[in-house]
Order: sequence, then structure tokens, then C-alpha cells
Amino acid sequence: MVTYMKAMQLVFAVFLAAGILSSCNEVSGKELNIREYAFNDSGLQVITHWINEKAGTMSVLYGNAAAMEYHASDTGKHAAGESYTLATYKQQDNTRWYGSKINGELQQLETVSLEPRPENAGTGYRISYENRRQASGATADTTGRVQTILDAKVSLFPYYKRSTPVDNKGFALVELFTSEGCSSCPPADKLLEKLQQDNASQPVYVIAYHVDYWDHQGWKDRFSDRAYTERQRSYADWLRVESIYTPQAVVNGASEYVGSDETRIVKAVTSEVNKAADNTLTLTGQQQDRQLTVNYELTGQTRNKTLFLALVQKHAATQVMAGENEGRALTHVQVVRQLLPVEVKPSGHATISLPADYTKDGWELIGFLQHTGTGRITAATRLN
Amino acid sequence: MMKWSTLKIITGLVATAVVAVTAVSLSNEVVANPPVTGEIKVPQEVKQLLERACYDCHSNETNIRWYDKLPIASAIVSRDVQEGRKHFNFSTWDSLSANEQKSLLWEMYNMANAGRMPLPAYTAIHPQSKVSAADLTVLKNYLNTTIVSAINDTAKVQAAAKQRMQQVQQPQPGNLRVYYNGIQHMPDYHSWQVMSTTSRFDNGSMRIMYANAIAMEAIKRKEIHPFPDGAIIAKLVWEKLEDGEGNVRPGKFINIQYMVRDAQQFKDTDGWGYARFDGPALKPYGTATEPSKCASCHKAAATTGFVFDLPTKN
Repeated sequence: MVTYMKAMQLVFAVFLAAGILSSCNEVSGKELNIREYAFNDSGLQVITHWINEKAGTMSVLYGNAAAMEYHASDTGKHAAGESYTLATYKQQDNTRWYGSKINGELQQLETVSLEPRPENAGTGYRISYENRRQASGATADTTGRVQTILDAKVSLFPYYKRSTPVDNKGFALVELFTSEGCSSCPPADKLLEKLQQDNASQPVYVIAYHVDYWDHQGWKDRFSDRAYTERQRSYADWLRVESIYTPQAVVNGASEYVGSDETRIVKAVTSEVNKAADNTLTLTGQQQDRQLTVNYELTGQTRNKTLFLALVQKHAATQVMAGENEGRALTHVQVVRQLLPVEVKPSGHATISLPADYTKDGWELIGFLQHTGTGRITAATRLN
Repeated sequence: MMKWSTLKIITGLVATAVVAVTAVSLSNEVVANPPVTGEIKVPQEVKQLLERACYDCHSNETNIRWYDKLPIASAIVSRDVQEGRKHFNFSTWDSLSANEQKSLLWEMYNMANAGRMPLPAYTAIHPQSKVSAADLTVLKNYLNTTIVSAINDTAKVQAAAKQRMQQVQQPQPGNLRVYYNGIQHMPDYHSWQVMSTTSRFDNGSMRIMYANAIAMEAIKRKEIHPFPDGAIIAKLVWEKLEDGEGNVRPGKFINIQYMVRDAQQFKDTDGWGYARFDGPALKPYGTATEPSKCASCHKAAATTGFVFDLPTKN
């Protein structure tokens, strides 16, 4: 009887075995808890990564094309245009392999951008944080964090093809903050016109915002808008300028100058044009009655960036009757009449209502992509 | 009552017939047991566990029961033992390098923990070989004693420095390396997205996993059963450098490994082609049988499409 039982057990087992073997690659319907991707790193490349066992974190340091260039050239000198992003994750057990720990929840993103700082002939930096948990002692020391990021050594990587965003030609966007009510402003308006003429064949774009804080000094600038003053305040934060003033020129959202300082502005424009851009922006559009539909296409990393569409009146003239410029006939170029922020997707469209005085030849549309954390402008173009 | 006894008689007759037929067709020798040349040396408690759960297929001391000699069964047993010994053999354990031994022990634990080993079909007939939670703890505790701290290991620091020097001096390999299954080193990997990073305390390495656009899209959509053809995952492995303050940085570059999805081309390895290139010179690792070894271990990650390092919520 024991033999009989054994035989039955065996027959059963053989069937069982056949069933198991044939279903070896099937997966039970168990719900998979794949983690959502909190950080899209497309357009950036890895420089190195590290683990902090005490904090229980793991970090990946990325660079843009200029940062990768720095690490490849080994000159030891950082240069403006480099941008670094450090993504720090909580470390957790890898449930599929005892002996392995894997990145868990994204804890914070730190971005360091190196900016030209002509006043001390060196390079300044800006750091911005995202996804940051409660400020901890470790990250409160901004200078220390920046140093850690800038001093990191590139890992030993096997042969790889260098990405070539170098094809993305450099550009310069000069944004002038001005007012008809300020006596120092007309020379800046003249310089803006000169910059445009001298760089007609270059990807150099100039625009002028008329701020509203001079409107109470006797003369109301008809092109002024509170929104442009707010934009200038944002630059005060991004560029660490204590107060806002006119005329002020900002080049690619990265450096600021007295709007009539030709030498330094030209130098900054030249430097930006010769630098690779992080993004490319292409604009096409159709006008129907008083509506302009703008289609855009973007390449490169677009995380935390906003696309701005500036509707610009190419020329304007005003006879000023009061205030600091009383009695002067002022001419303006590239007056921003509307500034529309657009939520960024790889491609999309936006619609702009055209004002009553719009003419096809007298106006134009300039678009630019700006990082919301640092203010840096990473692409600019005009609608042809 | 009547019905019951008839059934019993018929079953009895059939069983007797089965026993009679099978008894005369038992195989005399299912597998041979070659000599034990260099057996594994581990604490007694661990040894007993291995003997009970693994030795039938992974040693030269296979214990063949009478029912293992039955037709069909004998063929399965013979195949399993041959495969098992080929993968690793506790009786010739000494012939493996210390690193190979170590990584096999961690693999054993993880395969058992995932319920992949011992083979479920084997434990169904040999219930005494089942690995319990307590057995897993015994093995885990033993593994934990083998973890070596690498804090301020100057040899490792120098190895990294030396590699850096050589990499600077030597141009990159002109010809792309090709693995036994046709997989090529892909210099585009550096532009792919980072899928995950891992810290390995079993072997003192740290890794970055990159996913190409197809793999990344599948992961984002959570459509990985199976991964679509064309999905590629690259894994870069570095030696850990630890400073004693808890800071761990990558040292020497060890290897780059690939998983390439093509359900048809790689159907023998669950639809994934595996490749590994060692050192900055990207020397193809091992022999032509390597991809099947990779695949057998990756079965432990079947729930995540055979990919171990997919970030999941625990």
C-alpha cells in the first residue's frame, strides 16, 4: 500500500511538474508598484553619482553640454554657461535582490548655473532648489552645496558618444527696462536700436519693456504696464540686485547692466552668441482676423522652463509733454506690447489677440524659453 | 457503499498495473556521481541546509530515490542534475574564484527568496528539501558575515587613479565590441535616461542603470509584461570608494552590461539578450554560455519583466 501511495504521489507530481515548467515565464497578476518618474533628465548627461550612507540618500549629478565640456577638457576652470543639476533620492531596499539598495523617493533637485559676473571679472553662480523637503542643516549651507557640486569629479565612463547640443547655435536676448519718464533712458533706447542694426545677421534679439513706476513723476508712459515692473522685480531676485532701476539691460536672463553701458552689453552679447544653447525653439504662425495662432516646437530639457511670447511694436515716437523728459521727442524700438507666458510641452500652440493698432509690417513676435528657477534664457527666436 | 468498493477495486487494479509496468522499466543509472574534489567550506548549520535543499542537483553526491528512476521522471532528474552541476557544483567548489563563490552564495539566497530555487517541481516530490523562512534567515546571517567594509581602501583608490591615467592616455577603442549573442556596445547609452541607481553591499559596487527611449516609455506607461521589442537597458558598474564618513563615490569602472529586448531573437533567454563588457577596454566577459546564466538568475525578477533594478514603491 505504501508503494501504491508513492506511485500516486509520483504521478501527481509529474503532472504538477509539467504544469509548473510550462508556466515558468508567466507572471502572476500581482499589481506592480512602479515608481512614477519624478525627474525627467532628458537633455542632460551624468557626470557622477554618490551615496551618503549616514543620510540614507543617493544622488546623481548631471550637466548640460557646457558642463560636460568642462569635465572633458580638464582645464580646471569653470566657465559661464555651465549648468549642473543634482538629483537626490532616498535610498531603499531592493526587494528583488538582498544585497542591493535602490533609489526611492526623489528628495530634492539642486541646480547650479554659472553666470558671467563682469564686475569682478570672475564667474558667479546661482543655485535653485526644487522638491525640497523641510530645510535640513545639510542643505542650508548654500556655498558648501555649490562647492560640492562644482568640485565633483567626473566618473570613469566607458566609451560614449558626446551629445552635440553644440549644434544649437548661441543667441542673445537683450531685455531693456525703460521709461519715457526717466531722463537717463533715451541713450539706452538708442543703444538698443544700434545693437539691433549692428547684429542684423546674428541671432540677437532686443526688446524693451516700459515699466510703470515712473508714471507718477509727471508723465505717464503710454506703453507702460505693471506686469513689466513685476518682471523686472523677478530679475532683481534672480540676479541678486538690491533694487530695480532704469535703464537696465538684461542679457539672456543671466547678467544685467546699466542700459546705456555699450561696452559691457556688447561684450555679453558676443559671449552669449558664441556659446551653445541648451534648447532650440522654432515658431510658426497663422493670422486670422485679429487672432494670431503661434505653433512652437522645442528640443532639449524643458523642465521648469516657461515659454514667453512677446508681441513687439518695432518703432514708436512720443512727444513728451511733462516729467524729466519734458519737451523731448523720443523714439523707441522693439516696444513690448504684450507678454504671454505659455506652459511648455515639446510642441504646442498659443493664440494671441492682436491689438487695434497692429500692422503686419510694423510689429513682430519674439519667443524665448526661460528657466523659472534661475531666470536663464535657454532659447530665443522670432516668428518669421 | 457498493459504488465505493467498486471504485476502490478498479483503482487498486490500475495502480497495481502501473506499479508492475514501471517496476520493470526503472533506469539503472540516472546520473553518475563523480568524485568530490574540493567541497564547499561553510559553517555546519549552512552546510546542512545546502545538503538538504541543493546537493541533489548541485553536487556530485546526488541521492537518487527509486522513483527518480521511473520513465519520464528519470529524464527530468538527469536533465536537472546536469544543468544544476553546470551552474555550480558544491563538490568542486574550490575550483571557483573567491569572487565567483561569493556572488553565487548571494544568488542562491535571492533565488531561494524569490521561490525560484529549489525548483518547485523538485520540492513537490522532495518536500524535505523545501527552504523555510528560518532556513533563509540562516543563509542571510551567514551572508552578512561575509560583507567586507571598504572604508579608505587605498588599493581601490589607487586602482581608480591608475585607470583614470590610462583612460586619459589611451584613445577609446576604435571598433565597437560585440558580444557572443551579437549585442554591440552602444556609445549612445550616455544620452539615455537614468532608470535607477543602486548601491550593492553584497559585492561593494555602485551602479547606474540607463534606459533607452523605448524602455523608458514602457516603464512610464507601466507596460512591461513583456517589455516591448527594442527596449534596451544599460548598467554601469563601478567599485565603491568609501571615506569613513558615510560618503561613497565611484572608483574603478568595472563593467557595462546590457539587456536588449527581442522576443524572437532571444527567445531562449526569456526574450532578453544579455551582454557584459569588462573594463575601459570593454572586453567581452566569459564565454558563449554567459547569456543563459544571466537569464537563469534574472528569473528571480520575473515580476518586474526580468529587470531587477526597476524603481518600485516598497
